[in-house]
Amino acid sequence: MSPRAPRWVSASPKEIATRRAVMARDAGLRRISSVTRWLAVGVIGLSGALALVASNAFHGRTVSNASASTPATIAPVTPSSGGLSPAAVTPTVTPSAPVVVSGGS
Amino acid sequence: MGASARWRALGTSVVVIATQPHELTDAAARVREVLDQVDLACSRFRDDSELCAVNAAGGSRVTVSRLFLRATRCALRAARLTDGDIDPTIGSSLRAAGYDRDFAKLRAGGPVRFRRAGGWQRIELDDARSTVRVPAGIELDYGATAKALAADVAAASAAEGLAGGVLVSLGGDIATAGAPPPDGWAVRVTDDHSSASADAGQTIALRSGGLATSSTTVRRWRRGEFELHHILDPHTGAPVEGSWRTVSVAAACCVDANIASTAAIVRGAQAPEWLEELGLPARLVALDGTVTLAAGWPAPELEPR
Repeated sequence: MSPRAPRWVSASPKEIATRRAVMARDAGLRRISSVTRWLAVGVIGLSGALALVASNAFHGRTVSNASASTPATIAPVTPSSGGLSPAAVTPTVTPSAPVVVSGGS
Repeated sequence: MGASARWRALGTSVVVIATQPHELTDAAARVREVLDQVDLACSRFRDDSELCAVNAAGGSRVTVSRLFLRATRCALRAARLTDGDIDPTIGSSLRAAGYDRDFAKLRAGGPVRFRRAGGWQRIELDDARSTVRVPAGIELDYGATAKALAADVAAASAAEGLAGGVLVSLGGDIATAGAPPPDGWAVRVTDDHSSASADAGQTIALRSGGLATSSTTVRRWRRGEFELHHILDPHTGAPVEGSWRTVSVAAACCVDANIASTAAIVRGAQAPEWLEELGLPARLVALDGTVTLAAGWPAPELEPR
């Protein structure tokens, strides 16, 4: 079995010109595709970089929505936010001389 | 009954008593440290205080210390529990009424205006970022709670690690910590904390918690035709003209006692019922000297007027 001769050998000059044109077109399309990919990567990277710069340049602001009945506390006021508490032992009368005076000040 | 130390701080008198005399020096040193910190955080009359920084911030957030955050939480709690009868935004009202400097330096005369409190609901406290913000034009004043908070913190700090008990009095606002004397702390309750212990009043034994007295008979000044005092009604900005001249309350801590005693002055005739509901023993002295007792406050054999 003899090796098959390349077709171009027997191609006419017109066919050769057509094939060259097709090859040139395919090469151009590959270049365009590559450029497009690199452009996409570049745009995504640039967007991320810009977002980083913007987030550092303009700090966020927490908006508090104060209501009419509660303070605009962001964190709970507890644990000391319960009601007023009585002493463990109620005061009693004493005949002792006072050691200190409680009055207006 | 132990040993005592006395000096002045926060614009008032300080008394520290330790049941174990040899522990007094340590206890007093710890109290001084706490009072210095509270003064730097909460004074309305120090340009370098955190409270002044917040007031002067023109509505911006201000990063503050943990102590100032705690004082702010305490003031907001007082406002909430009293439905605004105590309001930490009373600072502009006090200034308008002429109380614009340390009381000892207050001048007679000058104009007086009554301006209602700015509204405690407008205070923004951010625990996570340690910031406080008040809208421009609103001034904070923690006078109704900061002294009592200082007494509680100071007493707890002073008694820590000591064998005996400690009593701290800041202008008659009293906090106790540790083991009390066998018969309790003997405290004279009267109109003015600087008066002699024999003046009209009652002596009681305090065994735990705190005791506070609020009175319209002290810190009075004159402006034009008005004689003013320091307990203002936040809803009007004017000095309270209620039923009581002096109210003393015992509670689990000095802060709670002080919140109740000050709010009772503002609430007037409804105060005894309110204190009964809360179960806070109280002694209320009317303008004519008549005494009303509430919620188990001990009755004296003979109540002097």
